[in-house]
Amino acid sequence: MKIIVASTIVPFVNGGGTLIVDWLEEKLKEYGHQVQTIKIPFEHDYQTVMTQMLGLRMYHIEDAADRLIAIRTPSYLLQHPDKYLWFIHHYREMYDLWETPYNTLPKEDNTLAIREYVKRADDLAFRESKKIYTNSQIVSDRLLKYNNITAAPVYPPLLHPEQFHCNKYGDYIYYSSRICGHKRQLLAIEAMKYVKTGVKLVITGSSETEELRTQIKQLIQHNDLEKKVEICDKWISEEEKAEYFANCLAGIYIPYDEDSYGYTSLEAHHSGKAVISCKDSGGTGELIVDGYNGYMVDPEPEKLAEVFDRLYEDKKLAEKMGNNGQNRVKELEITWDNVVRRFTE
Amino acid sequence: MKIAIVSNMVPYLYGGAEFLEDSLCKRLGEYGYQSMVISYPLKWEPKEAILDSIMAVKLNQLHKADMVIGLKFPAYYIEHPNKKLWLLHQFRQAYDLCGTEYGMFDENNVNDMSIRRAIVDMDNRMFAQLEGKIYTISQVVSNRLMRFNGFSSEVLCPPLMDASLYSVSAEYGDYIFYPSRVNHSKRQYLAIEAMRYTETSVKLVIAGRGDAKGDEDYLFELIERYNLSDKVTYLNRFISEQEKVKLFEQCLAGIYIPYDEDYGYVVLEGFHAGKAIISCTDAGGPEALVKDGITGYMVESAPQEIAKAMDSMYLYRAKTKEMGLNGLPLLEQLGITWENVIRRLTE
Repeated sequence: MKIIVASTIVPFVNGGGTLIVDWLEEKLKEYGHQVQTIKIPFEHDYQTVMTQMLGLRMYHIEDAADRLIAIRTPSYLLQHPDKYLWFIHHYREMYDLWETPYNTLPKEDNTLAIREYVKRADDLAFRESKKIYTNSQIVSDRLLKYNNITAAPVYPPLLHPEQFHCNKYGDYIYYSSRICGHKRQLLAIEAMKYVKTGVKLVITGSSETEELRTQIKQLIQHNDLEKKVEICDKWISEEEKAEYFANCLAGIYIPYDEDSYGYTSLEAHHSGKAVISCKDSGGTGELIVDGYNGYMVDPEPEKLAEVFDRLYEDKKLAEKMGNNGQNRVKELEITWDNVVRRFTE
Repeated sequence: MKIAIVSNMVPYLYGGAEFLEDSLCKRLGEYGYQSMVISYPLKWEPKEAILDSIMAVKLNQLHKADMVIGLKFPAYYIEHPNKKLWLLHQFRQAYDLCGTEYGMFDENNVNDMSIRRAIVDMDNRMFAQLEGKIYTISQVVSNRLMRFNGFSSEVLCPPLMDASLYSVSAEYGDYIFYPSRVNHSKRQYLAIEAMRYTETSVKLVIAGRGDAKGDEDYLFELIERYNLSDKVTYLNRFISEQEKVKLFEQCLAGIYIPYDEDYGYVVLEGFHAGKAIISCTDAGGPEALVKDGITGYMVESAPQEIAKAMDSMYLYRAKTKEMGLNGLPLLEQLGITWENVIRRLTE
């Protein structure tokens, strides 16, 4: 099938939104489809958002391919008779963030009108679409709430799950992620104050700010956690990461209110490891069933410490839950087979 | 500095222009710039779609870039305070191709002419704002810009991107090599027809996918019609760079005979492999590189004339070799280097 994969991009910024586009392109090609990717710059500048959106209506790709798969908002405004959406998020300031402190848009008549325009344009594009999938239940829920659209999630898999493997159930909990405030590595370190066993914590990833780097150092020093917590504050290779996962006891991913379950959770599961997360982490709740393939605990250091200890003392349990993680990935059909099938049927 | 290279795209088409975009982007990166290619879809059927394509670009926004280098219509209309052009070509249908068999606008059709006029107007307005910041990839493009729009520009010939893949070859086979996209204006058919008139055992190898399936079918049909299957090989698929390099290294000489093209990477590739090139006097850009009797043969675009050049390549091998070796020194002499291109575009 000839497929155009379209998305919008923020020029000179690499984000998750571009990964999913590149990976989908690669996989569709691997499955024998002819793929052309179109990436149109789009800046979420509310004052020009209307004209930018209008621009997207004016490209003519309607007979260039059998199917259009549109990804990041509002690339779905492109016109095509056979349009599929992999909807990954709204223009959130105009939707769910509108009433929150994260929204910096002035609440003026002008902005209200722009907001209405964005919503109507979205609604129009959704009506034009043959099929809409999202990347998570959270996004599906928002789509239903704001646009009255029912759409099932198609969960995005890892590009190369086969690079992960299990070597043993070691003595450390592993947190692999960019180190930044809302990923709450500090909370994981705090938890180490309360552990009663020999369990350790390993954190890898580069710090977003110098301030956070200092904070982490001080927290470790003040609590004499040097022997229990290892920080590798830099970008590490995929191979190094796979090794950390292969030898850890379990993974941990405890961001505050993220949409997705996080590629790192999948990496842990593909390494045969359970994932520890928090009840307020957002998307991890769709992947992790408390007590089955990991734990969903209150975002409190003591609660985290408890499950760290439990897994350390019962490695059979860690293994069982890790294996359940692999089952859970299958259950939710987080595979390219599934993604490609859904978008090409 | 963040530099956006803007160009157009026709879905599923990857040719010399796309290759140049990627090459420039990569080279800018090597020189310490943050660079990326932005490609805006372009469609010209129906003709009104051209106007939509222009509008779409004008409504887009590229404020995140510190500088924009515009390569093609209509992408070069993107609004930006710091813009330079390195023109691959304008929308030729509105200019030199208008009124020829390759044209699309009917001079007796009011609608057609108003679309054509809109394109020319838009171009003129933009060029007027960019005086002194307009570069082109060849003298042909600069000449057209002067002739049709009255603006002067400087020629910056693009060097070969991955010259390191090539080495001057000591091998000289028995075939003339034509690698290129296949379509009517690249005139592969002319090379095939020439093979009817050759008197030596010279052979022809054509490689490249057709823009449309019909383009490929037509070549196969000609080969069959003239019973040339022993002499002409057509590889109707995308060939990898490695494969192309190999075919160049083993060939006798190259051939590049499009109708009035702006440039011709094929010529550079041939030179980097130490091979002489056959081209035609109406081929456009190749004229600056293919010097008759020095780096190849420049002949009239008639099958009989091309056949003679092919036979000469085959018969006078010492001369063919010598001409092939003259290619690289000529490129250096003309200053066709990335250092030069990037310095001019970013200064």
